[in-house]
Amino acid sequence: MKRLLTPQRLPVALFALLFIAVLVTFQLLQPSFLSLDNIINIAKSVSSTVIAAVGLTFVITISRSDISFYMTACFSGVLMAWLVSKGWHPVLAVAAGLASGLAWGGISGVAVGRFKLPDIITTIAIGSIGFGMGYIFSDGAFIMENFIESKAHYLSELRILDVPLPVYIMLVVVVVCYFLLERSKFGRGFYAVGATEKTAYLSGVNVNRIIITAYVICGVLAALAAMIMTARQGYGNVKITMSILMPCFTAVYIGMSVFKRPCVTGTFLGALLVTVISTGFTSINIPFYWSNLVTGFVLIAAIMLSKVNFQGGRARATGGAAK
Amino acid sequence: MKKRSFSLMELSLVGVLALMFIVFSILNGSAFYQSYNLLNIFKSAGSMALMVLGLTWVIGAGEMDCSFPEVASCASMIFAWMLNQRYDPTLCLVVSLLSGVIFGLLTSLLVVRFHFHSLITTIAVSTIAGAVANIIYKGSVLSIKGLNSTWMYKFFSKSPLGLPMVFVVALVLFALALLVQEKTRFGQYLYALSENPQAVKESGVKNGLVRTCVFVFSAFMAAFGGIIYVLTVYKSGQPSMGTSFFLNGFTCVFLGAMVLKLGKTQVVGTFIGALVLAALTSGLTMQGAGFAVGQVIKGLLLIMGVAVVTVYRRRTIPRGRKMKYE
Repeated sequence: MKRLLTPQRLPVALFALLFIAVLVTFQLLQPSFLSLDNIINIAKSVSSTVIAAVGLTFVITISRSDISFYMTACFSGVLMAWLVSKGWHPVLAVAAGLASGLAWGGISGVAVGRFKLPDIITTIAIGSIGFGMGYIFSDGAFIMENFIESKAHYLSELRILDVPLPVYIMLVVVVVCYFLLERSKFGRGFYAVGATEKTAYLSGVNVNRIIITAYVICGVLAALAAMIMTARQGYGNVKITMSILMPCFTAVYIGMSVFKRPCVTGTFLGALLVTVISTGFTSINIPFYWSNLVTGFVLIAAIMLSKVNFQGGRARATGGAAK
Repeated sequence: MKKRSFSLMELSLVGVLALMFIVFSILNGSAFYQSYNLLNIFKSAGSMALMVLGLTWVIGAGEMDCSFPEVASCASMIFAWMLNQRYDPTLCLVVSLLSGVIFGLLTSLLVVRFHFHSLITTIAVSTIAGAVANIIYKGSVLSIKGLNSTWMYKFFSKSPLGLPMVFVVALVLFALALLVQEKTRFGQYLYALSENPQAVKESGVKNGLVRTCVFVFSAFMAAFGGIIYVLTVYKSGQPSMGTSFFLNGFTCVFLGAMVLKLGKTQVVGTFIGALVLAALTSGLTMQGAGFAVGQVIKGLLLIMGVAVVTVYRRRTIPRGRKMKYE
């Protein structure tokens, strides 16, 4: 007889319970929390976190870290606003922003993958360069000209069938990345490199290309998230994504604690939980630092859970290839 | 003991420092050399170096600590808040240093006992420390009343031998740290850990204890650095020191890895790294360069430091063991 609660499903059930508990708590504290307006509001904030966190998932999957994505994304966001203010068509500006994300991701990827520089410290340096370059466009001032007039804010505000555009973008990103990472031969390469590079190399995986690809995906998706956030604000601000480092890492690690390996589905669920917590705190008028405090503890709890193997014994420190 | 000679590479950072002084003194004329400016450079180098003294060993032991700027701001806020509540200044100092120790203990508990990755742990701890720093005074800067009359303020405004007190304190503490690093077992274990943790563990060293000490010391020095910045620069509690110290701290430490023990972060290097960074900042400010230029140059310096370290380390791997992808 099949058991309903297998050790693999238990964490998922626990997560669902926790998620419902969080929703009910906020609903009790603020009756309008689950109103349609607020759900759409949450969906909009979820979308940018999910997009950036899914990119980070690729880098965590190959057992590396990227501390540059949230700083280089600032560059892409402000580049897009600057191009719009210079009269570019918003679509072209977004394309240029994505290209800049690709370039930054590529630089990190080549430094870490091809030249084998240590990942953490190199990406800190590259991220700082990216953030510094973001100041070139306006010396840190807001860029407002032509932004609303050219309808650049439609990237975040346009509604199709009452659902905002970022939600569609998020769904496309999640589905594509899910099939790329978890359902394709190419995706197995990421898990293989994450488990042991040497074995991956000997079994015919192009290790360097996988590493560079992971960083490029992370850079591009972070840039996309930054531009959506810029569009939501309605003006270019160089500090736009300075706050997404923590939520993204938390999302990926919550995903790892639920599914025992970094994966797109887990990251999606993790980002959902993190965003609901932070928007919930905002909706009951509690300042951001309290929600930061809670998120910090949630991250620690998530890593602790990811270490517990429900079949007994310790799970692997980093997500392996085994499913 | 075998006497070792210095290679050209190991002294390159001193060369960078000298070059920087020459370039800036040409660009800025005599202003760069004026004693007022030199003393300022010493002052900011001293405070920065003190803040990252512990970080040097964390990275030397092969771990990571991203939490130092937030731990520093948390300590500064606690210090400011307690002084405003008219507690005894010494008590304020002790309690705010203790807050650093607590964050260090939290980090080491998670890393040593629960085998967390130190990067993720310190990201979490830094968020918590930052949140606490903001909670204390609702996220705004807390100016201190009557700071000038405390003994600490008077102590740090002295200038023995014409040098700023911070610089002298930093010199003394770095000399002590150098002794610990070179002449004690603790120092040996520290660098052994970065080479091969498994071997260290199996030869019976209490590696958990060594790593705990390293993390606690790092957080302690971060808190100390935060208080020094309150006393010498800000005169107020700062809830978000974060962004600027983050890059500067790592740049000091990794530039320092280019000196003496090539490829290893160590205290002498960090001190020289802090001097280089302070000279650079001062020179760029005199040139009227903006935030962007400074950030980009620091980032490039950091990559340069890391690249030198990596290239050197790779050379120590025997050719036969290297795989094509490596």
